[in-house]
Amino acid sequence: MSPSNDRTTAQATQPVTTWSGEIAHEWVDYNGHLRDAFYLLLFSLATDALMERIGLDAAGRAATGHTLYTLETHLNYVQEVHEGAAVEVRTQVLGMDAKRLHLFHSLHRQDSGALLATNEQMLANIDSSNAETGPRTAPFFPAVAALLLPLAQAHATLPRPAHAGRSIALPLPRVSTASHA
Amino acid sequence: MLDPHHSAGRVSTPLENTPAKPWDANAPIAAPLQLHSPTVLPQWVDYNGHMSESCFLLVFGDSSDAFFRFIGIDESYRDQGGMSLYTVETHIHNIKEASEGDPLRLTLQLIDADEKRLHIFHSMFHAGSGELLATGEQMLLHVDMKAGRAAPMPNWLLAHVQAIHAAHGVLPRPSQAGAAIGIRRKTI
Repeated sequence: MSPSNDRTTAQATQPVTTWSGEIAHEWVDYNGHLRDAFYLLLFSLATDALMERIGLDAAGRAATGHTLYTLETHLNYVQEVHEGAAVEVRTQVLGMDAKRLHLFHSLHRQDSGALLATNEQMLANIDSSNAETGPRTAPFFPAVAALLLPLAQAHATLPRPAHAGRSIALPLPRVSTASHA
Repeated sequence: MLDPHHSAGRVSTPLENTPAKPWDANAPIAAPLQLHSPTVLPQWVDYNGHMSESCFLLVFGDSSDAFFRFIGIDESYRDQGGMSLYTVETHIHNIKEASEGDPLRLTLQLIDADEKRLHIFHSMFHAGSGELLATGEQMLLHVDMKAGRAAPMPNWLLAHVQAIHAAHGVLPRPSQAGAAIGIRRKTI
C-alpha cells in the first residue's frame, strides 16, 4: 500500500484531530478546572481548523466572501480537566447538505484518550459578498464543497457518537416494573 | 486569536466573592428572572467585531452565577458545605450577532427541577432594541464535590428552587427548549 493510500484509509476510518494543546491558566476557575465557556472556545478553535482544511481560512474567506456561522451548539461535559493537561479535539462530520454542515467534536486527554466533553454543532454557509442583500445563507463554494464532500462521505462510515442528537430534559421518574406477585 | 476572553491571568466572574443575598420568602419572584445586564466587552469580540461563540456562553455562565447567589449558593456554600452546582449539558441557539459595546439583558427561566437537578433557560436580548440574540438551555447538577457524585440539595435550598419553579409555571415553554441538532430534510 502506498503512503497516499495509507492517508486515505486513515481519513476514512477515524475522526480528524483538529486541535491539540494544553489547558491554559486563563481558562480555569478558582479550582484549576477548565471553565464551561472555555470548553466551547476549544471547540470553536477546532471548527476554525476544519474551516482552514476546507479552504475557508482568512484568505479563502476573503477570496470567496463565504464563511460559516454557527446556528446551534450542544455541549456535554463528561469529565473535569485541569490547567496544564494536554488535550486534543477530534472532529467527525455527521452530515451536510448544500448549505449546512453538521459537526461533532470530542475533547480527549492526549495521554489516556479519555473523553472529557463533546460538542455537536450545526453551521450554515454564509455568503457575505453581496452588499445589497447583506450576509445570507448560500450553497458552499464549489472548491469548498469539493474538499468537504469526501470528508463527509468518509465519516459517514463511522459509528454515530452516543452524545449526538441529544435534547436536554430531566429524566422521567423511575417506575418499578418488578413483579411483586 | 487564541484567547478572545482575556490576555493575562484567570478570568474572574463579575460576582466572584459576592455573598448570596438573604432569601425573602415574601418577595414576589420575577418570571422570568432578570439578574444580569452586561455590556459586550472588547475582549469578547472577534476580528469582525462580533461577540465570539464562547463568550455567549461566558455571559450565560455569569447570569447563572447571579442566579446561584439569588437562590443562596456562594463561595461559602461551596467551600464550607463542599457542594456546588455543575453544568452537565448546554444547548445554545445563536440567533443574531452581538457587537462590541452592545448593552445586553439576560433573562433566566427555571423550566424544571428535582432534588438534584435544575433545568434552566437563558435568553439574551439586546437591551436597546429588545431583539433576541441567543438562547442557552442548561442542565445543572447539584454535586457533593468530595464524594464526586450528585447529591440532593438541602431542604432550604430546594424550597427556594421550588418557589421559583412555581412562579415560573406561568411562563410558556421557550420554542428553542428541548431541541436536538439535526439537518431536517424536506420531504419530496
